[in-house]
Amino acid sequence: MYKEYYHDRPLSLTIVHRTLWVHGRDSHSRCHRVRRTRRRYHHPRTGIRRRRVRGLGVQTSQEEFAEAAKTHDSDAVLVSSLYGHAEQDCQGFQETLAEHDVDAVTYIGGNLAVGQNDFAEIRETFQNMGFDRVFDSETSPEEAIRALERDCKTAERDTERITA
Amino acid sequence: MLRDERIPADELQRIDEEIRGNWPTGEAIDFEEAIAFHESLPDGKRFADVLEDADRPLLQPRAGVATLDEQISLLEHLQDDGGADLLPTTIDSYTRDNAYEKAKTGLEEARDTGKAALNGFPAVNHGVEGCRDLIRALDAPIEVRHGTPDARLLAAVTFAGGFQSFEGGPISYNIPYCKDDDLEETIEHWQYVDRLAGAYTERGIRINREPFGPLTGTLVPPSIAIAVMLVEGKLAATQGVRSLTLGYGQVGNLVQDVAALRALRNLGNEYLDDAVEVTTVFHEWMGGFPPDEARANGVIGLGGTTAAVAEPDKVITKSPQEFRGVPTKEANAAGLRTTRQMIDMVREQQIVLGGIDEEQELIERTAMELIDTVEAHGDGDVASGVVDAFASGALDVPFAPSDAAEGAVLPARDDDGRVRIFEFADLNVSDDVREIHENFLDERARTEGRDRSFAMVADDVDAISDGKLIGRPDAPDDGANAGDSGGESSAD
Repeated sequence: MYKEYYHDRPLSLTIVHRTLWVHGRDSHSRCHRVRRTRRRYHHPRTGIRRRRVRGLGVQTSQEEFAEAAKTHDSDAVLVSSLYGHAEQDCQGFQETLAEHDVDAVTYIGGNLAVGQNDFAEIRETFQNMGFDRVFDSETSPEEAIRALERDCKTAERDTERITA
Repeated sequence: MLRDERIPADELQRIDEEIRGNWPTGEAIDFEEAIAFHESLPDGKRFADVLEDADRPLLQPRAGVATLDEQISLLEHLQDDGGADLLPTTIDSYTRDNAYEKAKTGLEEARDTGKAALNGFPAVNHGVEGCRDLIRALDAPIEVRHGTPDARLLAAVTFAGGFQSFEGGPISYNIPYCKDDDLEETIEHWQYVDRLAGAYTERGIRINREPFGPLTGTLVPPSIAIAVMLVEGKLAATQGVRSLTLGYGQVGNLVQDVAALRALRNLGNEYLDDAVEVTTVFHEWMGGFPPDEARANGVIGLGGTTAAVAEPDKVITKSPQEFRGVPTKEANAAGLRTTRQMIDMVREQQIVLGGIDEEQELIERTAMELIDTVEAHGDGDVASGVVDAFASGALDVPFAPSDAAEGAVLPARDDDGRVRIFEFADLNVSDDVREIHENFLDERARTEGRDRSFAMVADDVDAISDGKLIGRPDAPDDGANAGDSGGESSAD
């Protein structure tokens, strides 16, 4: 259901990598690992240090997100969902984060509703649910990372590159 | 201890009673009465017979919505306007997670508001009688398509509800779908599903079973997919399944796809008990699709062409709206018609492709090495063997999210676009096979003037959605993704 990456220190960023591809209704969660593998090797281009971003894997509950974000004092939480049930799954997500004293930027992206929908409506729905940014299924990972750099200014100081 | 052995009758009875209590609709299941319902169905709804007797590849889409009325009208459209030979009922993701209470909420919301609150048909919530209303309403046979690790109640309800085909298996619905579902437990759950299918089969109602061939849907080397199909086929056959459809997902290289489908059919017949009727299903491209519907139709057309040459018994079609998720019924029907047009035009032609036999030989050899590994891990028993083989990485699936697999093996395309193994990790294949794969990838590296590297893997994963087959470096942008990006960052 969800996929999540987080930084520990000093950036303390909780990142959920957003989706790149769509496998349709049959996909459930099987494509998420593709993204995790890619991210491991791609993020070096962005300047965000690899050791600060880790995945929580597929089918992650709200509580797991909140606990990870709390543990690592995260600056951002990114959620991706492919299978169209994100609105139901994210009900009360901001409250769950608040209950865990998590004060983080929240992003969501992917295939966020069932069917062929108008993305402007989807964006509004998720913004009303408290997400700071909502990404559609055509967004590149680099776009989401650039947004993080704007929203979490400290990321720009971090220029160490890693080789995969 | 987990063994590939038939579940005894008393144990089947015990599990049966236990799982019926998991949700109220389970109480309506009555095996004898269900047999009578199946016997009342006309020949045209007998899934196994329709599939096995066909003289051309049959077409089947994916499709599932929350309410019964909408599911009927969706399937009528795919049958009448799409020309689907076989129909699906795709199950929603909450049911796949056994979260029937959430499915109930979604179903109520869909009924009350008309919103698409579920991504499929919650068959357990609809119950035996709801399933039978669906079976009665359509002319073609209907299969349950899903992604459920513990599908015991779903199988019990839908078999009693008149469905005669059931997709999935313990490996193919765990390794690509789950994070922490125990593989051994998943196999036990599917032994029940297969045993139940076997119990119907013994009473003359052959339930067709279809292991999910595409696995993670992303550049899965054919040998790995086929090895998994053979293991799942054997587990099903042990429980009394006699109609098995083994699956394979298109990788996009015509020669390799034809060779893989032939290898799948050949090894399926060789490896599985003679009492089992083996058929094959070809899934049109399961990876990322181009956002542009015209280009997506090109991908679908290549699938149809491949099916025309390889002649699988069944083709699972895609729609041109694949990129954005669940398609409209019109787009879904269009995918069926595009595929049918390609198959019927190409099938008339005598097409000779070079290199199929060599590719098939390599796929078969590698698949059987993996089968040998599974059997060795279980001292001859594939059930315990496959659990250990996955745990050790001796058998592995690229990009698998499940903790039960290493998920360390990585694929990349060679210079001809065939899927090879880039990173073997602990995959137990011979040095000879490794060398062949490495040589093919080196050839590509030379062509591209770069080292054999992970960049190839990443580029290949995106290639088809970006408008190419192979993820070559520095390919000029030819407009595959032209138009609005639609992303947040372009909006601010």
